[in-house]
Amino acid sequence: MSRYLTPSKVSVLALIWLYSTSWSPRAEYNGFELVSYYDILSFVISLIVPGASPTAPGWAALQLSDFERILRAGRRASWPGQNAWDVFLQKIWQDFTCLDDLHSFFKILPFDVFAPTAEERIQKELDHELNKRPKIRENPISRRNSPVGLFVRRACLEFTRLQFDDTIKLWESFVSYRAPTEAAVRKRHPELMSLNRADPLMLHSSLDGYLSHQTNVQEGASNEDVERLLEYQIEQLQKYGNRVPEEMKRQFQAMVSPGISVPSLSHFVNFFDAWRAGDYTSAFDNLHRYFDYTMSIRDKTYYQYALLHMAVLQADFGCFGEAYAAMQETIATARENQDMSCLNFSLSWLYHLSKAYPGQMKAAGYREVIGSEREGLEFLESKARDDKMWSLLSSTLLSQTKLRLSNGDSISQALEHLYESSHLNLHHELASVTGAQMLMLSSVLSRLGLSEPAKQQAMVLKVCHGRSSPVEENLRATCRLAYMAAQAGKYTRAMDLLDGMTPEVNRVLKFYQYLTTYSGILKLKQQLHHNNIVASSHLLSRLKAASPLDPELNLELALLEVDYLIRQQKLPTAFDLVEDLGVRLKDEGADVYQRIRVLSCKGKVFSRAGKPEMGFSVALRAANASLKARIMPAAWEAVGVLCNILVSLKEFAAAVKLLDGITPQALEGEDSMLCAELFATQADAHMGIAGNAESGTRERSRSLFEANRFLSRAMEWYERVEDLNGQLEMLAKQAIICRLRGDDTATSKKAAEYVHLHDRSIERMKEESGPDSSFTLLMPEKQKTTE
Amino acid sequence: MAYPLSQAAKLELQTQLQQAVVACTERCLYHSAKWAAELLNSFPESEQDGQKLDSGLYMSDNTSNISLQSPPVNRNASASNLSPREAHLEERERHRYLLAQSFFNCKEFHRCAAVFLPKVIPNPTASSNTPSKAKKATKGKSQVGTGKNTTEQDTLSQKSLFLALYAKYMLGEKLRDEESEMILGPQDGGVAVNKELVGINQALEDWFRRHPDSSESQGWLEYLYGVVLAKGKNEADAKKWLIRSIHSYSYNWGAWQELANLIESADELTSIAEQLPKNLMTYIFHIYTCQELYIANDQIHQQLDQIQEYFPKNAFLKTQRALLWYHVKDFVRAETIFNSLLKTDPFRLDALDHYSNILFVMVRTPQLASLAQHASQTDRFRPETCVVVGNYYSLKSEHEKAVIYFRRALTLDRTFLSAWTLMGHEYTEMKNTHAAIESYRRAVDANRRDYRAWYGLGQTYELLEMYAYALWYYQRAAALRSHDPKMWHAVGSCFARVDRLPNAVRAYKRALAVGAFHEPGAAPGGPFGSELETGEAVDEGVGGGGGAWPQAAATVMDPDTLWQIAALYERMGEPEEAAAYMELTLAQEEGPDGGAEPEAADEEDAVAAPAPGGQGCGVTDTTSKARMWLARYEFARGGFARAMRLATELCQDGVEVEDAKALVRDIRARMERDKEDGGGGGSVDRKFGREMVA
Repeated sequence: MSRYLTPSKVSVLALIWLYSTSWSPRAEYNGFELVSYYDILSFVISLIVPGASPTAPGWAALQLSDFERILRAGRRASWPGQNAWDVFLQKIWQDFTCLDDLHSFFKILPFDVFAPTAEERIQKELDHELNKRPKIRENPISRRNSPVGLFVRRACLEFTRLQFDDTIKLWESFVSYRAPTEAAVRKRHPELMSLNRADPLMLHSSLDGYLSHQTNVQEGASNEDVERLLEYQIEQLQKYGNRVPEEMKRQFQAMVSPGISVPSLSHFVNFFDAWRAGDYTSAFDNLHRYFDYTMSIRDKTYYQYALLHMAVLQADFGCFGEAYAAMQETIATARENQDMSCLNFSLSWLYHLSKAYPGQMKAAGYREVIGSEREGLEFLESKARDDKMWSLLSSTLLSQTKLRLSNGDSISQALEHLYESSHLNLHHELASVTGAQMLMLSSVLSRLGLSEPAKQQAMVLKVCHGRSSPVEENLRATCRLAYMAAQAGKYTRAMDLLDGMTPEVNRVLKFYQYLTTYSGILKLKQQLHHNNIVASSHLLSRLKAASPLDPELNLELALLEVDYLIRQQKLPTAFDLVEDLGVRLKDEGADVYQRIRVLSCKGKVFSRAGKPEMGFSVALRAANASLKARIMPAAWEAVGVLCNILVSLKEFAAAVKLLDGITPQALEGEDSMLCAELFATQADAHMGIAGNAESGTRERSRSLFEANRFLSRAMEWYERVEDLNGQLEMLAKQAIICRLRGDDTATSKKAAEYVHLHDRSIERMKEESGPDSSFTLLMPEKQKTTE
Repeated sequence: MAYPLSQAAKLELQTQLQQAVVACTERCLYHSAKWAAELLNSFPESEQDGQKLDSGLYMSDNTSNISLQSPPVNRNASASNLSPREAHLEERERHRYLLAQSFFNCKEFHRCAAVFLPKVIPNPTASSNTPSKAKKATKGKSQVGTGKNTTEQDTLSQKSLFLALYAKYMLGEKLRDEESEMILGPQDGGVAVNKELVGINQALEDWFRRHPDSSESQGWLEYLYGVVLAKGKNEADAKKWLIRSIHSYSYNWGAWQELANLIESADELTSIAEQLPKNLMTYIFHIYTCQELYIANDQIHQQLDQIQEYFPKNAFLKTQRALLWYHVKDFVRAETIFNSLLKTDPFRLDALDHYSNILFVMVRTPQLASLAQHASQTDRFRPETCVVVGNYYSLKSEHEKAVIYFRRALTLDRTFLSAWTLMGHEYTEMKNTHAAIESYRRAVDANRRDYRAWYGLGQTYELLEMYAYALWYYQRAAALRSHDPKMWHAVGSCFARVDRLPNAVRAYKRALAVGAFHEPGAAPGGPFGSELETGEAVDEGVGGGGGAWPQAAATVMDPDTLWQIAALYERMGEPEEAAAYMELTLAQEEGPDGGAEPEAADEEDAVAAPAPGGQGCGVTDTTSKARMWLARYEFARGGFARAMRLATELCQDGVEVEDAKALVRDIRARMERDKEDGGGGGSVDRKFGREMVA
């Protein structure tokens, strides 16, 4: 493979030559008309200046037909009946007959394109060969420092650097490159096609048999083009965190295969690819290979970047000890080399890692590098501000937001940071951080109980910024949407959302795992609601075996396990689990939201166990903390548990009062299960009031009516989430109320409904538990069909 | 003139050549084997019916007196005709021989030699340091203490001994090349020697002493001995042994080649030819050596014609023909032959470097590029290819790149002569005179007959303004190419520089003589055929496209040389002689056909040639200078009419118009004054003198 020059570049040089030799300051004397001048120049510029035009075909894909498209339009005033394309064709056939012409072309090119300098003028007069060349007038591209001038000079330099054999290769590939136009030239200029000109030694007749294999060398891309492509690939890989599509990979392979030398950058691409594919050993191998091959070119300053990548890789594969050690070294090297951006990045990364995996990092020997968390963040923030690393600043601000949220600090401060970050994103066009910022905003909103705006944020991220933000943010947004849908009981919609993710996600191991776990959790939730213990136990064991690294998922799974145990009436085990969870979260200094949820869960367990007194303080604490931190969903849940305990403690009026206050808000939260439970508790409370009242009194009948009303409402919400136990309970309670009222028909009707529902659920369970159900249940729908 | 080979003779010759190929291959002399195989395959296609049964094949010309006989068969050359002792030995050693041969083919020379001579050859450095000891060892060959080596050698067949020693020799060559490291690097002074030579020399001496009977010898050991002696600069002995080798076995082309390399002049060739057997190989050798010695006369061409009748397809012979044309500067013919060679055998790279030289001189850039492309695609790492590419770059005036390729050629083969010379040219172009001198020197060391290198050395020293040195080298070149006016011209200019004016004049006159050797009056059967004229035409570089020059036209004398001679005479204070040569210079404008009256000549030639001056060189700077000089000379002598006419002509030609006009004015003034009175000559003389100095 040639280093730089390709047949397409030679063709463009020929075009530039034509342009500059036919240029004249007065338009009417131009070889080309003014319109085509513009076209030609913009065509050339789009090729030469990277990124000048998004629609340009690029060097590797440039064919002579592209030239034809541009040049057909240009007519040449002095040549009636001919257009620029003809002139161009004539040029590349007439002036390139044999290898020698190629050499001559590059020799005279700078003299023909550039207006000569004073000393060159002298040289030109001395050299009779150059003296015959046409005179060049000063024209827009004849300056050496114009983009075209730079291109021409680079090309000439590269040609000088070519070995003779490489010039032969270039010549041969040029011959096959222009071969498609042979028919056209033969028609117009038959005199150009004589074999005599192309083969001065007349060797071809005797070599026909031998040379056939040599002449069909076609290589479209030079090393430089390939390197540029690789750089693009890496940029995309780093930006989106996905893998190289198969199609692109294939094309790239086809492009590279004719050449022997593969740029070392391709090892880097391979490294990313293997990393994303979860191929730990290959990733390592490729990373080391890349740095071994590039060490000779770059000096040791890039060492820290190698370490940085290594640390990220280690962490991604769960080797926190190694990751931590590598990052420590990175920081040390970066400090030594005064590489601020690397230092800041590694510090921030280390902080994130310790936030995300506190336990593991502690086990790996992590200690706060710079004082407390907050100080650390502030340090990073000021550093980023000083070094004008806007992306880092923005993400640090997000970290600040997260820290405030998880500490349960003031929401307004969190919002301030968030908006600051948002401003930075808009101002500096930080597409990579925008997704994270929107996700953060969405979670802030959902903490405030504004589920609809939260959903909207996620939707906006998915729809508007999906293409420009990393795949991971997309995935998280989708998962959040799916979770919300599942909470509202729209299981199919949730599954559809998860299935709707681009298949690209599945090609990255980490994302695939995340997605699978997420869909497994949603399925487990559904199965628990269906009271399908067998399926649930299977799912649970599988999910636990996979043990998600993400702390949120971990918590969600643990809570579901508690739910599973409660449903099986294994309350001691459930209690132990909750206790452990609470202790662990406290140790890790986990998010206050998570801790509140665990507290509420503990209260629920107490109340189920018939020990409401013990649960009371727990529930109260949970409610108190959540209100303080303004985490509304948690508050509603905690209050619900509290009311449940109050009912158990026969404090019916207080419970009703509390619930009256909270239920309308909770309804906005769109957590169907929570609503159902709130309504059920309210029904219980009213029932309790009715039980306290004298029989036959108006109050009693009213309370009974209220209870019945709330029961049917709870029934409605339970139906939404398809919670079997809840529905059955409500039906049983309704039946009891009916009997109390003395309405036997209604009672039997409810009883029949109960039986029907029960039977149907059993049937459904049987249906679902097909062979190997546990495995298929875990997979998202689409995988199931493909299996 | 030549008689076709009889069927029987042809068959015999073919058998001989077949055996030669086998024998050379067995001894790992690959180039000789290739050469013989090429010859074997170049008999004419159509089978003769064998009606002519003349195997005597005497040449008609009596000068060379070489008969085209196939060499005697029944010597002990071929494998079938071994002496029983040798046959027995070879049979016994067959397995070991195969082993050694395969080692040689894998370039494991140490191992190859060790198969037969585990420690025969004493450490060469030790033996060279203590010659007395070595002498003792050779003397006491029958004694017990040193007997081991000799007995071992005695039990070896000649074939095995040859292979073992040849492997040693190759090893030494390889080590020598490796020692020299980079081309023109600090270690590459051309002084590194093959350190195995002493040992081989001794072993061979021993062997020959113990086998004084040459009838048993197969010729190969003699060949090796000759090569070793030649490397040791012991040339007389080397020639002797090579001739012995040839007498024992004639089909080893390598021996012939070595012998040819040792011959320095035509006289030597004739004296050696008498000692050679009279057969086909000698005949080819004669042609080859003549070519190498730049002897290109009709006789050689005739000989070549004859031999080509037997081997019409032989590329080697065609190459010799092309080179002969090349030496007399008939580039067109040489080019045609090379081109046809390339077409018939496109992958033969031998001698392509000469082809590229020809294309270079003819300034056929596209062809040269094409040749380079083709050679490069055939084999990139052959010295010939590199030289072709280097020549191409040189023609494109990319001298740095040219040097890179010449260096590559030399890295591949340090004895590749033309690359050294060409590299010298490139260094001269790049003004790197020291490197140029070193390159030329190496070329000359490798082959003392390379006149280009001698000439290049001279040029370089001339550039450095060291004329005495330059003179010496030019003289060497002129001695090698005594028919080339360019050499004599150079010698003359150097003589002039060192103020040896008579010598300079003689050299210039010599240049004139060899340049004008082929005037129309020259004998048609003379040593230089009429072909030379076309060659000369190309050499002049006037048309560039040879052949266009009319064959019958007489060649003009070089006006530059004439002018130089004139100027020298003037310096020697002989204005009459100077004036005569100036007149001659002027006369070249019209050519020899044109008389003293230019007008008449113009009228005559107007029809024949469009150019003014017809077959003459036309008005050039030199002739204008001569005209100016003559005008002033006449003016000084008082021949105003002639002076006036010459000055007016100068004005017409548009050369030095200002000076000419001034002169015209002066003449007019003088003529008018002369009309008035006859005085005032002194001032003009003074003026004349001043202007001449300026």
